[in-house]
Amino acid sequence: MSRAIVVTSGKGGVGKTTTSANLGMALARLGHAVVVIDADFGLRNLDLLLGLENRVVYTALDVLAGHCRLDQALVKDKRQPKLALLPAAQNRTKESVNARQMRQIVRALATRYQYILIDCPAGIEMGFRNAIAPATEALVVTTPEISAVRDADRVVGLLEAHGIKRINLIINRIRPSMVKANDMMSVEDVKEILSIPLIGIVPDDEQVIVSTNKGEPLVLAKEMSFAGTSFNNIARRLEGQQVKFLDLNEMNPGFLTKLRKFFTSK
Amino acid sequence: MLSDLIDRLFNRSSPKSRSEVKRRLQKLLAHDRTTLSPKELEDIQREIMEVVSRYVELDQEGLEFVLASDQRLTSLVANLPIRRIKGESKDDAAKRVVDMPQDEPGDEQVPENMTLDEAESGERAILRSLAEPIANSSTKKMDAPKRWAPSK
Repeated sequence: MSRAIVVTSGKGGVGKTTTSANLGMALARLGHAVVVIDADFGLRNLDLLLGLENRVVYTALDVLAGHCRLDQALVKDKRQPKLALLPAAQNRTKESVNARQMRQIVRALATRYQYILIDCPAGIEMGFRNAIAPATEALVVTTPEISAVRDADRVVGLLEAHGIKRINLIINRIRPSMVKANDMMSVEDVKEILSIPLIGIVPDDEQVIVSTNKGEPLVLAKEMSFAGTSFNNIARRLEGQQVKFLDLNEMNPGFLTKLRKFFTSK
Repeated sequence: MLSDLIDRLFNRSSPKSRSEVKRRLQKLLAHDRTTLSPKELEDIQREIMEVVSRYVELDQEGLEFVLASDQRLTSLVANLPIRRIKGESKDDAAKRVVDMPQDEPGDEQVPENMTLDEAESGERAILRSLAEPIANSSTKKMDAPKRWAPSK
């Protein structure tokens, strides 16, 4: 049984593509056949985060136009053979595909892949509607900021209206020291406001940028970062495993915390 | 002590933005989550008032009519304080004050030597849409469409 999961957020820049790339890789490492679909036509990025940009030959549009077969467009990851990417076209707009075509693609992939992750574009227009059309589950990514949470709430409403019942929340870029200082909403705050089940918390981590620079997902690093661990945990929770949430108080002690510790430890 | 000093030095004990953002978001989302326009809300209020006023005399001052959001469910919460029940004799009204459980602590009991007029003015039965069975009719509490739905 194949699972088509859309990764969405409403607001841009909150970590949809990072989440798609890392979860795709993490699930593949757990032994599942995984395909990640870049549904951001015109502004594709998923290939970059996976470091596969030089191997893109055909895109989903070429498949739909009959220029190539589906498996010719799929880019198989050499580091992790169970992971494949279906790239979006870069030189087209979001109007170049429709919901029916997206469903067609996902139906064809469902015969071969256990997990189909769809990386949704920002916004709630055409591109969003195309990306959620074939999905049976959704991961809503947000950050603890007012605009991201508001947009996430709107997106949850749209997903519900579309009949997607399994909706899980990922809270990205939590900064424990700011939460402690009461200058950032906590995981509980966001969870309470959005009232959907939480599947992951990802701390703000500089390693995310380093991994993007290299085109190497965090979950592949030899020395696992906090964010990398978080994504691995989310992958295991998606599988149905019970995994404890990371204790945010134990990570990233800020400068002030260190200073305070220095003074109080005597 | 020293850590307190650090706190003060870096202004960490001032009122924080976390509660502020939560408050703003909750208000924002209660409105985002409903499709009712202010005009529609006003119409509902007027019509409910018309129906309820057929049976009881309402205290116009204490009326409350708000949208509240909890657990992804938007509710219309109406609080309609009753001044007097129509077609009821003053004897009955005084008796009811004694019998009825009241929300306000001051209204719990009517002293035996109280005159009927005093008893009536002290009567402020408040119907709460959630707590009171009479008020819990379908007109009083309604589940607004849960979310914004795409217009086709």
